Amino acid sequence: MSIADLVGAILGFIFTLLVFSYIIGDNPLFRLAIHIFIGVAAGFATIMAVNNVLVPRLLIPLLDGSRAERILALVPMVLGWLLLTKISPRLSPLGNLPVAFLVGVGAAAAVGGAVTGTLFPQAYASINLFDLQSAGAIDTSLGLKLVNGVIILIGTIATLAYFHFGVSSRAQQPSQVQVWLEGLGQVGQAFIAITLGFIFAGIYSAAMVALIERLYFLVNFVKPLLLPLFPSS
Amino acid sequence: MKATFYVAIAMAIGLIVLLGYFLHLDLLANLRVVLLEWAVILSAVALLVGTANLFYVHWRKFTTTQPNGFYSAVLIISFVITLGVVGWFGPTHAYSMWIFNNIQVPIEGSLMALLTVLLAFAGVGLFRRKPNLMSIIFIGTAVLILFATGPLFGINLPGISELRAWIAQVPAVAGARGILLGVALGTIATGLRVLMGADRPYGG
Amino acid sequence: MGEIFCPMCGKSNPAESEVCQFCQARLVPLVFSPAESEPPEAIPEEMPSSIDAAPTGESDWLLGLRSDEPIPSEESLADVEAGGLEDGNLPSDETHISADDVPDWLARLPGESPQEAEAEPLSDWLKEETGETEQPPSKPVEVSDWLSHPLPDEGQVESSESESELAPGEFPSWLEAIRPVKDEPQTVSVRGTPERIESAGPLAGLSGVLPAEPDHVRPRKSPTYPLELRVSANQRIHVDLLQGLIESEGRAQPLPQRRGISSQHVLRWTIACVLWGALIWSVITGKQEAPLPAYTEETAEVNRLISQLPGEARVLLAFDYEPGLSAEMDAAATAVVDHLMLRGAYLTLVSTSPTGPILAERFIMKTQSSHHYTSGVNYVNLGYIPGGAMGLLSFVENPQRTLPYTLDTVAAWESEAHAGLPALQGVQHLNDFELLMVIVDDPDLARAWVEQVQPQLNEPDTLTSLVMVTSAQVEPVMRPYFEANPRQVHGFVFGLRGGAAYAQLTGRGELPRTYWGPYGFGLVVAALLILIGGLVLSSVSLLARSPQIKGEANQ
Repeated sequence: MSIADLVGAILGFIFTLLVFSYIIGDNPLFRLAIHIFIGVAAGFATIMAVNNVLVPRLLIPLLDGSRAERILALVPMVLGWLLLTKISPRLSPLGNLPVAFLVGVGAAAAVGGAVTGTLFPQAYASINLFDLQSAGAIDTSLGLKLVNGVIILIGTIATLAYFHFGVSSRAQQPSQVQVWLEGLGQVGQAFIAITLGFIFAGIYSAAMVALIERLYFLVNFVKPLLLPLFPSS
Repeated sequence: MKATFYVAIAMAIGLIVLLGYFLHLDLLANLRVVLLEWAVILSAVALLVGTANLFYVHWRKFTTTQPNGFYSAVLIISFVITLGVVGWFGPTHAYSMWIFNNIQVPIEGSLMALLTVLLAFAGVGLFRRKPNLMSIIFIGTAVLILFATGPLFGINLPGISELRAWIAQVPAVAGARGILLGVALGTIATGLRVLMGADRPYGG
Repeated sequence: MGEIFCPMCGKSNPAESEVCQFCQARLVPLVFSPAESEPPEAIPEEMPSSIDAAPTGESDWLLGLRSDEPIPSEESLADVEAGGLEDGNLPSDETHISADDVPDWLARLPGESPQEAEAEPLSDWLKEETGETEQPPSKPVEVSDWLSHPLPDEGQVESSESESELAPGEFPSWLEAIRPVKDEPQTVSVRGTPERIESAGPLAGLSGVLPAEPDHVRPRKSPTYPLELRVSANQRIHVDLLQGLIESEGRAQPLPQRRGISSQHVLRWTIACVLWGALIWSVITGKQEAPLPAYTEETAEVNRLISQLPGEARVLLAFDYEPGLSAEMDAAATAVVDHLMLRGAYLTLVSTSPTGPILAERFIMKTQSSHHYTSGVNYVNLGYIPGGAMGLLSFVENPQRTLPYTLDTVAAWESEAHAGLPALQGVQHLNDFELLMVIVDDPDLARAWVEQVQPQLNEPDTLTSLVMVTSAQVEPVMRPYFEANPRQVHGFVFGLRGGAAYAQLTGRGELPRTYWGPYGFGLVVAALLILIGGLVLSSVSLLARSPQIKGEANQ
């Protein structure tokens, strides 16, 4: 192990313990570690944005590109400078134009993706749950597939019903809650509880692996230091 | 007048990008590529704005001797050192990788590892209040999946894996599909509101 | 109780109402009291005295009938109707009518002097407007002076032949009396509510008059009914919490003072000691080795797709996870990427996260060093795509323009000027890759990949498959994309469990095997902690609440 690796391992060990000290309670050592982490992460993000995006996509076309490339690069350059004014509260309104540009593109990408990538395919998938031909091809029990399909369809509709909060009211009449919709929403709530419980277990599993990795690191760091004390092991 | 101009820009550009999902025309595709390229560049500039703002906030905290100014100084120092090393040598250089492997990864990994205690604490806390049916279903599912995910004291119990697989493939899929459809509908509604100018998050 | 029916909308109103509750039409005509009005001296001097001789309210047309003089011209009448009253324009050519010419039926009309009348004198056209309104019998109609008096001689009245030379007309006394003074505040009705003031026509400035166009024939916007949201008390609490969180964003919150050791601290420490102690023991002793899990259908699909790859296949590999989850993602992806490298695939690395390209380099150095893959030869690292879904869409539309260079600023793609790197030979679009593999830890990011990339792969003649290696937390949200028919994602490896199952399939991958034993042990300990701890806590709180419950029951 080189000196750099040793120093790095010591740093990693110290930082791990600093963060684990949060279990005792919020303390200055934990906050020190967090602030160092934020500084390092921000530094990496800045360099990646500059080296990997702005230099090859903006500077190089402006300096070395063809006439068409230069003209095309002028627009994002101007917009980029305008966007930088968002740092200053006084000049901030100048940055509204590039923000409007970004918002327009982002909204369109989100809408288009939701429609073509999720809404239609998943709705189609709910219908195809009862595709008996594919059940035969995969050699799955037909009855089981049908039962599962019914449960999934009911669960999907019930979950969507749970997210319906609107109640239409008529003039001079009390708002009426549709009883059947409310009941369906209760069923949907149960499905959502199952899904969220699964997600909770998933997050816990991911955290467990992180903990095991950190413990392995700590043990593997400390073990060589303690080995001289236990020559027989 | 300015507000109308911003709205017009957002709507026009958004419409061009959105139409590209459904219409396959050469002119539209070329225009779309250019607009998306500009959006990617602006996103990188937006990231720079974020980091610059972070630096500015902590610089002010440090120079105006506010409480916890010491931590701001630490942040600024680590930011500047990282900028210098990674910017000079490159992101994949040994020095940059050293900073990444020995500072960022251990700290982030440890933060994630803390969740094992905090989530277990939260799970226990659910029982403190009077539990209702939904919280029982929630914690019951979580505990069952935790038991069924890994080997139970080194033994793969028969049936428990099948039960886990059934929960994952049927009720969890039902709930998740409903959530996905709901999220998609909400995204469409919100996106269309922006594209029609009803929502103007850009200060128009 | 007495009722009045509105002449406009026909609806029933209380007897004492002056205006209709539904269409605001006047139910009771305005009563003009001579004591409150201006004295008759307000009548212009040009008004002839011969008018006084007329017995009762005689209108112009009636007077015109009696007189040889021409009746007032339409033009002059039009001037009056067009608001000439404000300027005091009155018909200038008024006729003189003698008493002998009064018809019998007119003479039989009740003979009330203008001074005694209290009500507003009504001309016939005004009477037609009021229609069938029931008049309170106690309120007599006052006859105006100019109706009761003969009209002046022609010579005594200024002629106004041209509109531009019209002298300002003069109002009859009754009209003058009831018209508001210009600077007067808005008229308030008997009930103290402000009334509608007519803005056009001969009655401009008057309040409480019947509208020229009744409300029920006016085009109105249909009423919008408010949409009420059904929000429970619990949801209201959550909404308030979220609102408070959002409002407190950006505000520096003062750190709460430490209150010493509480039961919550003790519980947290106990959980930490038990859990971490058990895991440390497991890690040190290594006594928790366990058989690897059986593979599932989605994992087997990934294995099948990779096994079917041709030699030197072009594979796009996206590293889209955070360093904090690198432990799980490395363990899940090790066996899969190892399989890819065994097949000799050329790898193109991208990421939508700023730290993704560095994580990719780290992954290859740490877990795949045995394959001796070289950057620029066996794999190429194209770097970071900013913008999230926008960046992905840009990459899908034109990968060459989105990421033209590698992380080392080397031209990556094939073009006229450059030969291009081996990993990207023959690749122009995303469809040219044989396999797309996304290593992702975030459900939203995984969904963005599916939404933006997968429709592109649905093009005809596309053989590219999309597979994902994800964190365990992503499994419930992304599984619907695998369970779909047709599949949107062709295979999944979920978390360490999936990675360990894949390692068992291929017989390779040391990292998941190392973690698998302590992982299972730790999960069981955690589940028992939650269960036992929760039961103990709920029993304690139930016991603590039971005297209160008994007290409530006794009551």
